Amino acid sequence: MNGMIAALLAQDALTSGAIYALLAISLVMVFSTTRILLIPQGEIVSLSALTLASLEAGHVPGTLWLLGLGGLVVAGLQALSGQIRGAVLWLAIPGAIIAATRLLAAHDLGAAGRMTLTLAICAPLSVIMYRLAFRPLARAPTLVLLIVAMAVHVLLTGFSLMVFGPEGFRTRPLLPGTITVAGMPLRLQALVIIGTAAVLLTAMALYFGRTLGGKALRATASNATGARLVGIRPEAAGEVAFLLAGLIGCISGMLISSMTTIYFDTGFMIGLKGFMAAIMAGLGSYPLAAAGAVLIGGIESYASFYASAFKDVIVFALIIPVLIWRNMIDSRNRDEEEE
Amino acid sequence: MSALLQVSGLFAGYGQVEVLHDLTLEVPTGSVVAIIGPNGAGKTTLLKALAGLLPARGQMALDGMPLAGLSVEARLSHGVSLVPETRELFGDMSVADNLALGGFRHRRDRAGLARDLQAAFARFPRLAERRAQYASSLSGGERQMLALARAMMSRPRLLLLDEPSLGLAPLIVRQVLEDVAGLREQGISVLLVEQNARAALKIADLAYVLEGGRITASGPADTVAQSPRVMESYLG
Repeated sequence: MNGMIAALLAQDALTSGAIYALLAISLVMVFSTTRILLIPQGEIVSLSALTLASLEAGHVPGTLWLLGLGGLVVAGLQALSGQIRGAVLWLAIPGAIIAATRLLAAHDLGAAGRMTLTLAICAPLSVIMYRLAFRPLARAPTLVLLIVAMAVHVLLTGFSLMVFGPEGFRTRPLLPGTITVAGMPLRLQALVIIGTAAVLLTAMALYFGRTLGGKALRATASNATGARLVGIRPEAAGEVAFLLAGLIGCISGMLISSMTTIYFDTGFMIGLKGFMAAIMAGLGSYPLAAAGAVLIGGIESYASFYASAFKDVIVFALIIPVLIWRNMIDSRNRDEEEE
Repeated sequence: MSALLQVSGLFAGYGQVEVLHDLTLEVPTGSVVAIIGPNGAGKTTLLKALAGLLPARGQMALDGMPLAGLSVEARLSHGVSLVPETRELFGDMSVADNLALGGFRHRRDRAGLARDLQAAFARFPRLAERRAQYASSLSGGERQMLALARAMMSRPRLLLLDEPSLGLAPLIVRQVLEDVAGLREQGISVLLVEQNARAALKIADLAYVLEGGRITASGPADTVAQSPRVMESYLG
């Protein structure tokens, strides 16, 4: 391997690392506030990538069905529990998004317009998922929540296959072309991805560190009873966590859709790598999760150079030593706490 | 004096195990009411049931407003705030953040929250010194102060205090209980559960003796303190 190749691989490593980092921190956030391992986060990524691709082709994306049906069921449940205002909102907002998409899909909206529309369609899916699948089970054991998460994942993958078909799609990069820095070609889209991820990660850090809303999410994660005692409703915290995860998942999906071909089931693989990074952080620490994600991006990128057929095998085989290492740290911490 | 909290015919417990049987009690507005009794009498259960952490049957009313069926958060928004025996602080967050979150329900009133935070630091200078420290790094007494100060940030009308003196050195116990007595001047009513009966009866206006999930004696705190049975069992 010469320096040029190493540098190109590093560029790839950082690009995928950035995406994995976004996913890893959303998984940490959702798990620590709700104890849910958000396996379907990968589906939000692929659904938003496919939605964007569909809009680019001038089609009405099939994701609208999911938004419409989901919104309808949530509105129905709200109406049944007597929350008329919520029911109206859950009818009106998805309705408006669907109407706007149907009106605008045939026109050239420009990249910004298409991305805004994709975000409006896909981010609410995460909240709908929480409302329908997880909130009614808020007090269930973690294992039950995990199985429900698996079920939602299978459901969304199936839906994705149904409306987008088995073919892969790719979108146009936001910034096509390359620039040469110190004799090394840099893909502009890679810079867009790394830059966006950096901005989002900083925004999340500020949200959790500086705002009362962000601190309320941390408080729920830190001590759920304590949080209730100061008036933080666990369901509200869960909903905010899912909304943020939805936004991050959508943006991630839109970012990678120009770097790699996205199929109906691509999200799972991407989500799994984000999950590995989250596990490295013990599902608790945001900076560790981000660091783990960059590490996984790196291993994947260099593994694909040396043994591309084994790239995923190498990455996933790593989970074993990582889990052993985590287990050692966690049991040491437990011992210290008991002392 | 009208009653801020009125409880009658209250039954509560854990699952199938009923701990409180047909309890009736009152907390008059602006008073400190002590609940004393042996371990396992149901004192903590009573406070948890009042705060909404445990299911309960029977009448509970705050200023005439029924509390039964309301969530912890809803009761808090009506002014019922619990400081549990286990404190339930946010250990991996700073003292200042713990306090700020105590005022979560007033989050739209930023100026008021900032004022409340200043007031809390003025009242507990120790917490001001340690404002940037993690709550988990505090000593037992400081944690108790923080739990009390955090509950105050919600601007309660009724404070439910579970064993504020637990695990504290005698000197700090006196300080904490003086703080509790001081709440009365701010118009806050307190329902105080305390192992340290002597100290509790000293600051309380009224007292109830809770034994085996039933109230066995009640009255003005000094009368209860004088009763031979209480003197023998709890004041030794």
